[in-house]
Amino acid sequence: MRSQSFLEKCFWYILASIWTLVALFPIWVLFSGTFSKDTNNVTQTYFPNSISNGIEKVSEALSTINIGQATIDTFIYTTVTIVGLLIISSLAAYEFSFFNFPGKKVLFSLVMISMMMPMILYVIPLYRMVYHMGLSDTVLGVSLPLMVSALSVFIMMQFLEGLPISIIESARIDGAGHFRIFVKIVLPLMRNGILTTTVLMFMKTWGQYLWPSLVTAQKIRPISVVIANMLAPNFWVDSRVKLAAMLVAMLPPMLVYLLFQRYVIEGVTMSSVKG
Amino acid sequence: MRSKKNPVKKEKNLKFQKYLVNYLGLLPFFVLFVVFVLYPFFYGIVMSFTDWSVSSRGNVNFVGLENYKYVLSGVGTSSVRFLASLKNLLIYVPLTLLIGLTLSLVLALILSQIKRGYSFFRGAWFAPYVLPLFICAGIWQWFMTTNTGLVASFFAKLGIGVGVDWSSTAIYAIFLVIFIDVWNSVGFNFVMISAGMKDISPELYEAAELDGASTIQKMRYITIPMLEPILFVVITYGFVSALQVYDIPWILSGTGDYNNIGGPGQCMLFPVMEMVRNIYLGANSGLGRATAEGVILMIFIMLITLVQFKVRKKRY
Amino acid sequence: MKRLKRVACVVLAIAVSLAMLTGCSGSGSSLAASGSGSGSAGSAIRTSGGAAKAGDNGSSDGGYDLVFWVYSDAVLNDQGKLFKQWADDFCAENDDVNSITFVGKDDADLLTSLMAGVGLPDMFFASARDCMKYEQAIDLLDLSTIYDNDTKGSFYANTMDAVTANDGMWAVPFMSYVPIIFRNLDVMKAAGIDASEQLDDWDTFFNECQKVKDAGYDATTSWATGGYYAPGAVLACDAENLTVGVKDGKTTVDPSQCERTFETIQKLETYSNGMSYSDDAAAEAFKTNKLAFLLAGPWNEPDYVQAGVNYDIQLVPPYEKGGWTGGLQGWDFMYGVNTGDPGRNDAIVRWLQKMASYDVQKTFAQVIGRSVLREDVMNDPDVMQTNMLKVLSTGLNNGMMQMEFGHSNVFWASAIGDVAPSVATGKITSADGAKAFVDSVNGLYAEAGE
Repeated sequence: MRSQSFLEKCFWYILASIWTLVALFPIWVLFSGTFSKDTNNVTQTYFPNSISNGIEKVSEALSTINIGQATIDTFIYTTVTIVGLLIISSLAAYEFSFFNFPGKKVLFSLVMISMMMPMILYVIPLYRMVYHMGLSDTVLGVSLPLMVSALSVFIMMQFLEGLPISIIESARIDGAGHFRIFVKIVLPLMRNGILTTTVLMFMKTWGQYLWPSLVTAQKIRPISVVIANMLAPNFWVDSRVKLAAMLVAMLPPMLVYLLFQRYVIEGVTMSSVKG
Repeated sequence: MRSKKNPVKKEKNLKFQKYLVNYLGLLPFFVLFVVFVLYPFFYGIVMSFTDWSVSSRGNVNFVGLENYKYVLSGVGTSSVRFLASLKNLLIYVPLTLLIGLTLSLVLALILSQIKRGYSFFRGAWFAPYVLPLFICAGIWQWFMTTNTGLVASFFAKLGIGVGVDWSSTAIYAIFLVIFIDVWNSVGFNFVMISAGMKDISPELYEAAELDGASTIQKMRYITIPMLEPILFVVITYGFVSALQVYDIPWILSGTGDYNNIGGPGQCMLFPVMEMVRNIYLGANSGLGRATAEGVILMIFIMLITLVQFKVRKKRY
Repeated sequence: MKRLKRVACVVLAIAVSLAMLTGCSGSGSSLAASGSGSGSAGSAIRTSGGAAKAGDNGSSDGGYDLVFWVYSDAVLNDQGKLFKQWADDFCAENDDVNSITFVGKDDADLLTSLMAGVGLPDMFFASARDCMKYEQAIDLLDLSTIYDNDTKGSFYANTMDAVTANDGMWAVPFMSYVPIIFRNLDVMKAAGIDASEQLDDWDTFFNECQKVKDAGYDATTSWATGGYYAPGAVLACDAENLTVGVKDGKTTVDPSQCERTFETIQKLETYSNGMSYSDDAAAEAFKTNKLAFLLAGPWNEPDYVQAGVNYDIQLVPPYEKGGWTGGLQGWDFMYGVNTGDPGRNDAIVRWLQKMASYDVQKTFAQVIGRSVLREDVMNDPDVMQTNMLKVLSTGLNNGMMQMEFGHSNVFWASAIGDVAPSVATGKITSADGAKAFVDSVNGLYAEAGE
């Protein structure tokens, strides 16, 4: 493309900066609100002015609201969900991408349709079943239904799309079995797909509310439920403690995003390639 | 004879074995899928034909299409509310998609002009997508408070919504939800689109420039057609999630009482919210009605998706 | 750029791990009532059958492990400590009860679990608004044995009526609230209002609003938006004139009885700063001395105390001095679940009996500062030490119940939240508003099939 004049450059950078401000400002307000004096109007605090008060609020959120314990519990079931999800989805993606077998189309459209089912429609029968399996209020009970993710099958299929089937054929000629090929050849090639799925699903599972709120009781405290309870009417929680709690709740997904930014964006991009 | 038959049999056996192994690979996914999604889902659909409610204690009767008739009749509170929620959805979905897509395209365009700091801007613009929705809603509620809210007073200066309580006024309430949703999801869409833009070969633009095409013409005749596959995915995802909008309006209109969910005059009511209200209300057939509403909503989603796929196939 | 990102990540990582560490030390204490490790063995939620039998079979420590679902604030701070103390005392006094575990669950969570019909606790603390739903949906425990004539007489009379149905008594009335007006005394002083002036009637309130407005401050929030809470509080000022009830599926309230309510709401709108009572921004304006009068709940008081606001508390005023004051009364009950095991049921009844006792409710009122539903406690001069409790005590003798607790599933008063905004903005007249309100109430009754 032709080179830009200085003025033109400025114009684009100004536009870009404006949206950066719009995108980041609300997140900034979360920080500045928490780290401000109690006498400030918290809804209009745009600059932090009391770090010590903020630290106090954060520690209060951690101790009395139990955000700390909730973070750990949520981290555990999110991790279990993702490990399970990766195993079953990568296998399914492997089968769907490389092989033709009777019923493939039907099975695949079933997966597709599952993306369109609102969970609220089936959450109550689901809970009854999980309860009768004796899994309510257990990590497995929260995780198992969340492991079924059509989206992650799709993403992984996009990553396998580019691989030639000849890799598999030549491996088979060498005498490798079906699942051996999967573990030894396909999985390593899917590394990026797996990372992407991990990151996207981490964010999704972290924010889940409806299902965890139903299936947990005293042993597991999902962070979304703890925060929703905190926002319940007829019950007052210091607004800065609320902010601090949200700040802590936001950190793990933000951290995961920052660390794996490249993969997230790659993943988002990949899932768009097919269409 | 024998020597001729055997290889065929063997081949069949081999084929079957090959398939078996494929089904084996799909087994874990489909076992969980059937047990934790499909079975409860069909259970839910069956319940939409019954008078199931909180108080039925297992004593459930089939009532045929009664729930569907009631919900679509327009007579009775929950039916009026459900139809109002569909009307809101009809305004909300196209607008949020249109605004969201336009903004994503504009952002992708801006980014395509930037060389230094490319990944910084991309990262920053994606960040809102990482925030849980209940946090977004909470913060935007402050910004949109009448008179004192930062964004609301900015709009008031432009002459938009002076003295209006955004969360309880018709149309404004829907726009409030659109703002928050667009702010949250535009990062995701823009990243997809800008990745697609990068793939368009610069020669196409150069050729167009030689022919004297304006920026808008270039956009119309090169960028958008080239981005079509990606836009299709963005729109399909967008439809499915916009039709199920729930978290943001629920938080913004939450008053601790189910009859007031969706704000005064149902200005912020959407179908999934009305489903939840029916579930909690404890009225006769409450759960039956809720599931019927859910099925209607799902049929909408499927129809729209189907139409999208058909239209696309015809064009190409 | 890259280095910066890396540094940011490290900082975040440290923050998260610190967060987790602090979280660990703080957690255990407030949630689990009983420290005994053996108590928490076994499956997730114990309701009946299996888990109860395990207790019966006389394991070394024996006894039931009861589960009590409570509001999320009842496991936090002072309330958490109080309930834990009661649970410890109860376990010490009753050999057959090993532990009581408190789980924070809100009304919505509770209802969803109810619908699933499985995984219920042994007892729960929940809104009285859902009382009839609970009676219909679950096998509740009949608590008649708690109520001898003496006990019956010590609760507010209408609470006893609410918990009684089908020859049984199904709940223990516990906590209550009425909406109250917080007045910012500093703003009043600046507006030249004598702070000792009580809100004897609506005219006094409107006068004060006018003075505040003239002095350049915001008088109050909108009483029309934010749901039923504020307009309902005004409606209740006319409780004496409202013929509440339902006949042939229609409400017996006549539109003419609510016209005055809508007129008042409309007039209040002229002093409104446009926010709704529950907006964070409204509370912040009140705390920063920009707003004079804020309608809120008793639970908001700690907020203003912490911010050091100079305030007092008033009931929503009557139309004539000495008349019926406003406030929709909200109640919370404690319920027991029939577990099918007589011994376990007996233990549940004993716990709920303790919750119904004078001592428990008195301590709750004194320590937490919230009003309870035992009339003798609310009239005890020992208890009525704080301004808040005095005001609430008066309020409980006035206003009206949000709905017919225990005998209806329809929260009829909430329909006002839908109508009030159009009246306030002048889209419809008060008379039309009153009609729309009554229609909308009838719609709710029809939907519920009552």
